[in-house]
Amino acid sequence: MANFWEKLEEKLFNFKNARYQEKFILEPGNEDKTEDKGEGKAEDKGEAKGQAKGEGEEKALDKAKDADQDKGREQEKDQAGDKDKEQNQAAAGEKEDKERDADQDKNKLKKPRKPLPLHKQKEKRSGKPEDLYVSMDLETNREYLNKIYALSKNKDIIIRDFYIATKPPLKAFLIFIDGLTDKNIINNDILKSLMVLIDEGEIVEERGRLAEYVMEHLLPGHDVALLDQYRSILDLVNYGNTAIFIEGCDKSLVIETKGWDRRGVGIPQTEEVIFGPHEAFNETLRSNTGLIRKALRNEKLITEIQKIGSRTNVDVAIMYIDDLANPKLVEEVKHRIASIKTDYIGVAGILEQFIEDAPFKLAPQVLTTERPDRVVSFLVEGHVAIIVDGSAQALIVPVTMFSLLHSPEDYYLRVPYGNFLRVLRVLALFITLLTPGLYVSVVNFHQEMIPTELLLAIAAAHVIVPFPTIFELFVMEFAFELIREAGVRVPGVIGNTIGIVGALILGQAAAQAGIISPILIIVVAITGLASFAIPNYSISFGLRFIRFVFTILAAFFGFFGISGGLFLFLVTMVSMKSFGVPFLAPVGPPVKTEPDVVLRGPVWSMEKRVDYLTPLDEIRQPKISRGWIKNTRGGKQQ
Amino acid sequence: MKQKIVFLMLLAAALVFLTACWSSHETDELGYIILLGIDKGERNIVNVTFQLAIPQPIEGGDAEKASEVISVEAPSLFAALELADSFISKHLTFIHNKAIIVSEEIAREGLDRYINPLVRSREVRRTNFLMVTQGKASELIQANKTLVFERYPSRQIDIFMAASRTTGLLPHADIHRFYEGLNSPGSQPIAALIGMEKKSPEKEKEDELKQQEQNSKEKVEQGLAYLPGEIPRKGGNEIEIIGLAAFREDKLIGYLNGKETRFYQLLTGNFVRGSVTFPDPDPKEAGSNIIVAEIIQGRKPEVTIDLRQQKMKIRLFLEGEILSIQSGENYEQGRLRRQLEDYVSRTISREATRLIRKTQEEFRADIFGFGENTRTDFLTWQDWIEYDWLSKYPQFEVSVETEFHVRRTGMMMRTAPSEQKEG
Repeated sequence: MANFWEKLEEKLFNFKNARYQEKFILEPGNEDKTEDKGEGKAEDKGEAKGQAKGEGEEKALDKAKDADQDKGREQEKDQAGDKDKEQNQAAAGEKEDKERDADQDKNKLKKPRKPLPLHKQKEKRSGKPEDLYVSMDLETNREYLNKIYALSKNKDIIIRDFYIATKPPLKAFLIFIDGLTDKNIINNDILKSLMVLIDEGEIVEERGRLAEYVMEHLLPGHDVALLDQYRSILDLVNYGNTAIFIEGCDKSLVIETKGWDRRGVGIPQTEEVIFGPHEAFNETLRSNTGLIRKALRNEKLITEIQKIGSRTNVDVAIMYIDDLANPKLVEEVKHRIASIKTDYIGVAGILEQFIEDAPFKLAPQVLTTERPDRVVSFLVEGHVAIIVDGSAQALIVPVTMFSLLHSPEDYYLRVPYGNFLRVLRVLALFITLLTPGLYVSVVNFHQEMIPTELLLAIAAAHVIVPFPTIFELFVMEFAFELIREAGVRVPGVIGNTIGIVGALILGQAAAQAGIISPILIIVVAITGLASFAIPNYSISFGLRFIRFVFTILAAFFGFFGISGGLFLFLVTMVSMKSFGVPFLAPVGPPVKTEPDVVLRGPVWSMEKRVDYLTPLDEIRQPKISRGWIKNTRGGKQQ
Repeated sequence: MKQKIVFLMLLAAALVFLTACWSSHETDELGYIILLGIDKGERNIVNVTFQLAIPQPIEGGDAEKASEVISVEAPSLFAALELADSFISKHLTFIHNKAIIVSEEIAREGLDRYINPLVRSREVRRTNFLMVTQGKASELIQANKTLVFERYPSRQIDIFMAASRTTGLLPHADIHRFYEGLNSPGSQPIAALIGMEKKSPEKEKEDELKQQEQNSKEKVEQGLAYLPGEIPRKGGNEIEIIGLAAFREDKLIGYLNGKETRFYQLLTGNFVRGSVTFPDPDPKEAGSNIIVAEIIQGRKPEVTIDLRQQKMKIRLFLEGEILSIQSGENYEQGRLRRQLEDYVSRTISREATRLIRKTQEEFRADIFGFGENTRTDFLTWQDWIEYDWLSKYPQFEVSVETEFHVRRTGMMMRTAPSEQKEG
């Protein structure tokens, strides 16, 4: 991590330098400016964009600031001295704009609200929303919006003109996107309160603070922001907010009016349990974070929001418990997400591919879950959860193979039942992975391994089959995978039918026709069944894939191939890491752990959090967690 | 780098093509030999008989078609295997062979030359049972073709041999045990005995005469002293596995019948349990009543050998459960019980001593492996070999002591005499 900071500082330095040089080259007239000045500007810029940038960068900036504190003070003086110069330049910049927009009122522009910083002037010419600022002139703003949204083509973006019923009436308009907004709020709360509910005599005198006045006195609404940069206004409008532009205001009022049609909280589709909550995430970020907060009522639960995807601008929430999660881990997660530069990340699965350590390994390094209770259980362990807006799954990092094989139900059931499920699942893992391979190698190479009668039964079944066993197996496995894939893709109504037709009729018919031996159908069916018992969809996928590798190895080398394959498989697993945590921890490498790896101990015996995360608070519960137990040592039953 | 990758890939390919699946066979390409019979050949050196299992459909299989017996004459065992391949459309393999049956003729000549390749072979397991038949192995295997209870002969042999633990009438004799006995200076090899039911009328007459001569007590004492083919019976499989073939070095030297085999098992510590019938302890009742007890070997026998005085002492530790008391005497409790225990101990010691004497005088072969216990009396292996136990074994004086305790009396605490009324 230390390395990371150094790199960041170095980058920042380069960044500043680059800006400084850029300014020199682009503005030859400014050659006389001091170096201090240049740095000061870079800082301004940094602060303005502070929200969009990662926290890390900000901190780095602070450091840089501290170092330059003395110089900074000098620079302030300088700035005052240079104000006139700047004003002139600003005026010149604005003039150029006016020449382009012929219908602009010249009188209004005589009094610029403040001297525009140099970079703003330059950027304004580009006409990009990043460089545009709200104009005092309503028509200019409309023109900007017209251009940005291409309103002549874009039909679901609505501009509504109205007058605020003050004295004198203020001309204004509001803009929102139809379908994303709650029309009741716009009608009843915004328009009504501004047009109808205002006292007749309401006089607005503070022209300079007009927008503030409207926000503070006239507009009901729980979430109103005053913004002057188009980029930030557009971001909010694109996400269902409504922006009000008022004549003579250089700021826009952005009101939260989100209200699109959305799915309610449903039941889990892929991680069903019998005992336990039946809530699943939906596609709305806020309701997902709400589901987590509802179960984890703690002010230390942090929800940081980052935007990703240059075109989709989707919110990504990073959730962790502040006084629990390892800060380095949180930093790493934020850094990875902030560093992604792409146009589209709309789904958790895509983000997972951007942040995972080893994209080509067959085991997932991120746990994907649709269960809020699962997320909460990981958060209180010290993990970090990532939720992508528009995705009904949360990502949890880091993750080990063992937690991928756990199901939330293991914990909800009593110890013996939970352990029964765990053992069953471990068997299922090996059955999924190895059964077809073992079958092929026994039948083709090691016929002496199985009881004579079983071997004769297999041979009897194979006598009428014209293909080698490996071919049979591949045909059947392929058919099974087809059924599986088709079962997911077909419309729900006939989904069940596909299963029955595929599994029963196809298998039966293939065996009767003598293409497949019946024993092989048992092998394939057991393998398939076992793969469904793996609780994590991702790792189940991985195992499904690897079993073909094992089958091929077995067909070529028999048991030798399988043991070689297992060795390689284990080596790759051991070498894998998920956000710095070895994938096979706490077994390889062995670290201290509570009894919750393959089998689990009683809940009251798990006193410490997992060691490999090094959480800030290691103690989960005191030695005596069951206060009512008497005459026992350490709260543990004797 | 690129070259390196290509090289590694070639290496991997070589791995595949050099080892690969040449040894791969589909299950139905192989012919699984279940029983192997070895006889003296008429036209060539050996006559080898195979009983092959023929895979039957899972549903509606026919037990009569479940095996096929073929005999080939060839200069060697494996030559026979290859010759058989030329008229059997399967690749014959020993991987599932269960038992090897050798004719008496060959066994008397010396088995070493036949067992050696089997022990060396990769395919043959050393757990294959070794059996000697008094007649011809080929005929015996042919007779075994019609199975009564099982579909495949493999299961039949397994179950037969499991009887060595439940009845003790046959030894657990596999080729590993034989090979061990063959090469150890402390013991001699053995094999199980197998034979066919004798159906000749002369034999039946002979048996009848014998039975008439014997009185009840003798019959009981004779007990299960049958060799294969002698069991008085009707129905069932044609083959019988009972008794033991004793070898001196690799040559057959004689047989032990079922009863003797039991004592052999007791003396070697391999007897697990079996019910033994004794004449009534009371000499007056001995002719008419019997006592049946299930004997369990409590622990391995204790063998003490004094090499100087050439004395051998064996202590047997037996426990038992009473199964039947015909006389109505209350042998379950008190003095009578101790009397019964004494009686059984004495009987068993006597029989066991008689058996050891038989191996000393008749066979002059230590088939029990008592000699293994003398190892501790020597400092070096050479000393032990020089001592030559096997040649000295017949001179040893033997005493057998038996400790027998009745542990349980079945589901009856005592014998309640039945009401007898003069009609």
